[in-house]
Amino acid sequence: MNKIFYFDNAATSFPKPQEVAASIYEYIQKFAANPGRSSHKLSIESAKKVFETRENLAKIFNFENSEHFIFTANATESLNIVLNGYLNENDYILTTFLEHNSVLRPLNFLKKTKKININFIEFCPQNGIDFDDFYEKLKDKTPKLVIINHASNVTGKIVNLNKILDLKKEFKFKLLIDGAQTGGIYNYNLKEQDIDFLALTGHKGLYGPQGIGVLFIRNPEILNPLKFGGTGSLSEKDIQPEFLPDKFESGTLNVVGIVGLNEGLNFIDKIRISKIAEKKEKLTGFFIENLKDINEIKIYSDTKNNSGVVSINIEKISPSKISQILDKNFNIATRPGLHCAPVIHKKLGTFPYGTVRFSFSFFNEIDELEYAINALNYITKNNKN
Amino acid sequence: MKAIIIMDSIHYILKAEKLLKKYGIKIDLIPVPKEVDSNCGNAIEIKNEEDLFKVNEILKNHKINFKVFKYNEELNFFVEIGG
Repeated sequence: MNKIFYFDNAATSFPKPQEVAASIYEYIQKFAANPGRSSHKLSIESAKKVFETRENLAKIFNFENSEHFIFTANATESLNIVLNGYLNENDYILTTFLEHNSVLRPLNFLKKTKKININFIEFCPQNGIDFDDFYEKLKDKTPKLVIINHASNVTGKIVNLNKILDLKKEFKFKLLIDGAQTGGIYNYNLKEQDIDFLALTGHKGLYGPQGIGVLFIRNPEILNPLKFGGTGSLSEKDIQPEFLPDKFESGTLNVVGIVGLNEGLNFIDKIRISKIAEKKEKLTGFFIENLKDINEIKIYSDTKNNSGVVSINIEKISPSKISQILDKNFNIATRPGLHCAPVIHKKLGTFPYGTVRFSFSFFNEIDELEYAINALNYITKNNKN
Repeated sequence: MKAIIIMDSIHYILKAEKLLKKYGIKIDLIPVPKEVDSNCGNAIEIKNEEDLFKVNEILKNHKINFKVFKYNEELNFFVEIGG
């Protein structure tokens, strides 16, 4: 196959570091036994891989006890665990217009089933959320939970987390951060940053395979599990263990995914998150700089605090058509449409057709971006509509 | 085999293994002896009984729940001595 110019890393990062695939192959070939269910050598080897990955998460996200990192299927499951396991009848919650359907849909379900009260912090293109409005809403009523998408998967805007944490200190709410787009891009320090729940996925900025996610839980006693079942521990009891990580990890784990994630984590640890962020900043800056002089192109992202995502539209061509031409004629992979985040598109004025999203990874290079810019120039000039 | 420690789950067994090795304590991961009721099927054997005090201190400092069993030759049985 001819070279694919892959700019859909906010959906899933590709390619993965070589070690990710190699470790999964080795695991399946050599010791893919069930971890924590037996005491034979292979089971222990498998459990050691799970343990090592958890320890790696604790190191990279800077938290002392690795059992506070729970393995899930993806960020969506991590978010669902918190929303379903923490919110009760008539609870008041505050969230943002940046949210993905992984937050909006469970919240709307809970609105129906538990009559929760949902309020939105005003949108602000420069900062993602309007902090003055946030402050006013907190003054009006303290929410049981504040849910914030740390970086919009549509515009790439990273919200100022430390400013949110200052407000948390003052108003004492619990905080759920959706880190689907920021894990491996933003340098979290969970020892210092008082985030109650951090939802992550393994297959984007953490460079692991699909199907593995993570949830950081600071205080497990305030949260109910979503799943109950076998954990390999306390088998004589027919009630769920209360200790971590078992309380939230019923059923056989996705060790194949965990093993791959571990190598993704080793990769970002070796490169350093600050270097990855720096490279993304360079790519995003170059792309935006070169597109902004093309009159027919409207850009919905800016270079300040960007996770490596640029959303655009070309006058008089639908996003799906642009993405189709890029794929078919130029081998360029992008994502058109609403990106599972309908409410921010309403704020941007791009609902219901959305935008064309370019999202970069550490593996992208400037010459690939030059190729994409030339392709967009060509499409713009040759648009017959 | 003179003394063993057991924990709630394999995560804590592996966490204790990492910690105890770091402190230079000679240990081995073993399947739990049949006389001891272990939750996760695995145990840590403490090679030198005189390390038990240190083991106790290290695990408590790191807030790891555990139980210690010592082999009683007269009874031919493991007896719980603390945790």
